[in-house]
Amino acid sequence: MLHIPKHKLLSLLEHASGSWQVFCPSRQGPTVNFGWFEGMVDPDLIPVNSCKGAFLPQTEELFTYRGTPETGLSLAAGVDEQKPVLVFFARPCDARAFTLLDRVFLEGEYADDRYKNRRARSVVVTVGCKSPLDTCFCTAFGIGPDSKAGSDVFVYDDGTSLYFEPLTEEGAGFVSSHSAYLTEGGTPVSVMEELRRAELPLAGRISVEGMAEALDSMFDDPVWEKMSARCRGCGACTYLCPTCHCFSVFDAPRGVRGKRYRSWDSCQFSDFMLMAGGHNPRPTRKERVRQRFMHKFNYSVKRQGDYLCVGCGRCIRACSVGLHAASALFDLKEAGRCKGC
Amino acid sequence: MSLDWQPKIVGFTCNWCSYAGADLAGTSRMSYPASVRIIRVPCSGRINPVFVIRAFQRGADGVLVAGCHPGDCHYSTGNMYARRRFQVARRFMEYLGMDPARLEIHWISASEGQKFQEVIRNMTDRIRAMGPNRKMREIL
Amino acid sequence: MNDLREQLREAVASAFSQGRVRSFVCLEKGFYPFASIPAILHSGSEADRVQLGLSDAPLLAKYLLDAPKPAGIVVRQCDALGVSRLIRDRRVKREDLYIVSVSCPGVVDTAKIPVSPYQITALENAGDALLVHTALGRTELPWASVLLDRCLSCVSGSASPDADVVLEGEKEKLPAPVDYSGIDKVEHMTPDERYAMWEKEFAKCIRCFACRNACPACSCRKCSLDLAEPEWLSPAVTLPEQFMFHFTRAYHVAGRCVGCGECERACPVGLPLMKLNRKFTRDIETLFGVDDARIPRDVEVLGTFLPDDPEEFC
Repeated sequence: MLHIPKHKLLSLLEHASGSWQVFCPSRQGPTVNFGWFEGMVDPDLIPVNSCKGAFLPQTEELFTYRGTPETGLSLAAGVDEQKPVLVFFARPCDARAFTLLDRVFLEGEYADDRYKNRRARSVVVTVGCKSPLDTCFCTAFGIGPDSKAGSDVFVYDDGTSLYFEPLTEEGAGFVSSHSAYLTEGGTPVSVMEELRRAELPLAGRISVEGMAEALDSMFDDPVWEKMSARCRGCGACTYLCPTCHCFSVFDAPRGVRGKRYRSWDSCQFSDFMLMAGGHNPRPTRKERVRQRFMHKFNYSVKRQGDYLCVGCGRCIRACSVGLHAASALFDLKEAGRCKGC
Repeated sequence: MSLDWQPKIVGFTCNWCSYAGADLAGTSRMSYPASVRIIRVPCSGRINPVFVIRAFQRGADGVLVAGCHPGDCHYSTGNMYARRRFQVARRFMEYLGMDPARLEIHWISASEGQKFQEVIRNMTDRIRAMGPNRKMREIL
Repeated sequence: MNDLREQLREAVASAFSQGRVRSFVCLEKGFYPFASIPAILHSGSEADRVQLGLSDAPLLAKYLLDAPKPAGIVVRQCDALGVSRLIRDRRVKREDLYIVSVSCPGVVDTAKIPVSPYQITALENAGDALLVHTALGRTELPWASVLLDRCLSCVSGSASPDADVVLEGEKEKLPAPVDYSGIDKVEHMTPDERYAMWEKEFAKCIRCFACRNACPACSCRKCSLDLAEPEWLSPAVTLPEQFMFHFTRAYHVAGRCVGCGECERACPVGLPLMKLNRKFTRDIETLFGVDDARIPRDVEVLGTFLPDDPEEFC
């Protein structure tokens, strides 16, 4: 397998950023975050946020407009960067999450142009997790530290070198176009073994077996009231989640010109479903928390055949009051058991 | 930046003192640079420091906050609140990195047309030398 | 400690049985090891859920807003400040509350223990140290090094005297002054250096509002930054908007911040938010001769004035 010493990774990415928009982890103060490459990369720690920003930026211009009665109205579509997107050092959970987002944005009657353009020529380079965090539970969803789904290249990190295993044509293309930085090496057998045997302390406590079916009859269960009592109503869980994808469209008028853009929105915000006229179908945290977990563990299974969760544990790290996918699955199972499900 | 670039200064002036002072400068034909855009408020106590940030966001190169001298407020105490408020808010804006010369707070009475003229002249000169403000300027 | 927990559970149970409360805000055991999570109890039979919250304990004060009244709450000093803040902001009435105050030696932050919580079998408070027991043995860590940041400048660890029930534990945290060295560092930079630093920090902000929602001083029914009309804050997440958000929130909280640091603890991306709030706190103390601006007062510092306030403007 082709490989590169870890200390040369930065020069590889600097070269890559000539022809790619590179999205990778870097340390920023006390946390490591995924973001657009700005000359730094931190390959070792799992970032607090997800990679979805590579294909669905938090704020994105849709078009600008300009108009007066004399000149009439003219629109100019938002321009996308020409360089294709390279997601570097995604984790297997992130890569799998891309395939779930693809279902939302690419399949069905309407494909999202902006997402599609970014996704079309993208390459996802995923690194295996030798040290899963104690908030990781990807195995509950059939993903693991060495899962390949959604990746174009899989990287094995043996501590001193990174080994690149191309999985798709696009991945092979990326690797060969950077062969100047890579040398032929052996197969990182010990890393492969480590990944196979990596233990997730949390995964043993969580199971989603039968969850989607059980939730069919739990819409009015008192568990939602109890669970949501501690929710602070912020958007931390949804914004850090690799599969959450809601957004809202806004206008910014400035006299004769303006801009329309879209930004992430969170179903946990109190005004998420607030309608003109004042009606709010999800008036309290109970309805909103229920919505979040029903969407992830029931509705998306029924609509698309998959749980909309990859067990990355980011919501566990994000939530300051311990209300997250793992605690929810645990509480829902308990509540289901009590009903004799 | 072209040589004939003129700073844009947003001037929040209270109706009873500083706005009247600005008016007096005008009626007395005292000339001052056409850099200031005046926004009349009932009292300096009405001025929310967030207005200053909004002004910088929308392209102001400098902001002037002007009210009655403490003790002479038309509403008796409005400018006293403004004084406390802007002392802390100004320090905080500088803490965030705003250039100190871009925000000025003055007490200008209705009879101080000349003071208004001087304040605007000095501010305009200082800010012209600094160039346009880029900090906190909105991206649109 | 177990004895204190039993006393607490008894106090909660009897508050219900005496009809003093319809709900009780307290801490209970979370899903994650050693994590305490907020709970709202609705009957005395739930009293056995109550935990002291010796580690990773969120602040409880804000849960009073929606808790059915009369509402009980268990407070340590930081929580007591939060409750006092809500009372003075007229968001809850003292007569609708039943306050049980416990003394506190400080709350452990398990993130500061270099061992996964899943490895820890027990945490033991031993005088000046924390003993961390694992299957492999025992590590001793200096007590001050494992506490939540807010405990390092505790107003006082003793139980609050104007509570309805006061429970004194064996140990309590000694008061400690606020550490302003982070503020000094920023003040010594040039304006451009400061701006670049804040740009770098705010670039991480995802506008989740965790800070605002966690803050006991932020309890407006409709936050001005959520308004669409007038739009003070655009939903676009761009750097200039981040300055607007953080400036406005810090300014609205200025003089009312109780120094609990929940904003910083709640922030998922590690923004140094207390560096913003403490700047206001210190300036207010210095300029207006206030002893400890974290203590809520009947008339807020920025809601009043003195005729001989410092005069900097001319």
